[in-house]
Amino acid sequence: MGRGRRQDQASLWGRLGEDWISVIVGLAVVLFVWLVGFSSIPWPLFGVFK
Amino acid sequence: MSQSATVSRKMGMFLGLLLVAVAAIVIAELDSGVAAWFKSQGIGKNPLEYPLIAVALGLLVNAVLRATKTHAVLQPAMRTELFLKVGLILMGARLDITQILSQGIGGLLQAVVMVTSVFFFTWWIGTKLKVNEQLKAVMAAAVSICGVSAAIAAAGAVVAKKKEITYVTALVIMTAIPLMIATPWIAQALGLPADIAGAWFGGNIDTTAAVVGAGTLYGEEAQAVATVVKMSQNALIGVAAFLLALYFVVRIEKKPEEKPSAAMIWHRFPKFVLGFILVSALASLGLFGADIVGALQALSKWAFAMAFFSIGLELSVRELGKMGWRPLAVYGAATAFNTVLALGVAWLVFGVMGF
Repeated sequence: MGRGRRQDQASLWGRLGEDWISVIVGLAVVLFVWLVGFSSIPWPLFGVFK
Repeated sequence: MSQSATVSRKMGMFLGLLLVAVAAIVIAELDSGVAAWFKSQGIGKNPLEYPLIAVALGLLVNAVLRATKTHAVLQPAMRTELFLKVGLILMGARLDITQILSQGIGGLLQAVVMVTSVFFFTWWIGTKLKVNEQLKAVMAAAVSICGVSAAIAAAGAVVAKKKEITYVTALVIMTAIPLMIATPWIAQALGLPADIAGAWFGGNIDTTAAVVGAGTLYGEEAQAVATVVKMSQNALIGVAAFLLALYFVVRIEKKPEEKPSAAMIWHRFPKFVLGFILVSALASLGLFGADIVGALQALSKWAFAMAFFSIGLELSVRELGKMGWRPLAVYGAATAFNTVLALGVAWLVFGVMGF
């Protein structure tokens, strides 16, 4: 378990933690939608959930 | 961890994420199909909200994975909390603080009274029934503030176990659906005006989707008031997370030789709340147009669908059974108290005081 834990700590996930990763992902999505524009995303299924 | 174990973990993560993504598409399609069916039957609002569909599908896939002994392989991708936190950050775009302040003083007043009373009632009954401090805090936050999002924030602040979060989240989803259907019906039977009924739904029902659902079933005005009251409660997540982190560092887990510090509180404070506050601040400044807010809301639903599906995937009936009847009794009593008190406070604030 000790080795596994050390390896996990060394990974990006382990170092940043799920909390910070969620902040980075969430803000990246907001920034993307804000700057690029939502309508430019070529995914027809996006319209399903509204 | 050996090299082959690392490779299989990565493969499990990839296949699991693929499964979750495909499931989200299936959930979205099912949600849309079910809504269309209800509409064709003359019921404008789909009473089977997508969180329920997502959890049900998750449970089904969970049973298949356990029967085929592949559950453990895909476990690395079951990141319920990550999906929920991302969804909550995106949901921050809906929380316009200026709108709450300009239109919802009554809602804000109701939110503060409700959150304080219900939180301490749940805490008190949890202490009486000897439920552990962490589970008690997560339940109190979930019932008093705003269901899953508050549960996740509180869980970070008090360092709750994963199974405790899953347990409370499952209870929140399971109670939200009957409340969403029953409360508009009871409000109708009591002949409640739309603003009081809306305030009751917003103060009582735990998930935002179900609040909007109940409001919609009652009418446009009820939906608007319900949404403002719910948003006011959502705005209190950060405050609650900070106070819980402070309380657990200073009182519950303080060691005699240890001096509580700001760093310890910061370490516990759920950082996703900062993302949520930042996005709602940007929305409140008017930086996002209606199309951007709508898009972020749709994307948050995708993240929540993945999260609720993961809850179903992770749910272990055996683990939940081990927790016993006490947490269930606390949650039931707190929900009943919340329902009755929210009706009284809504009547007082919107009926008697006339906000």
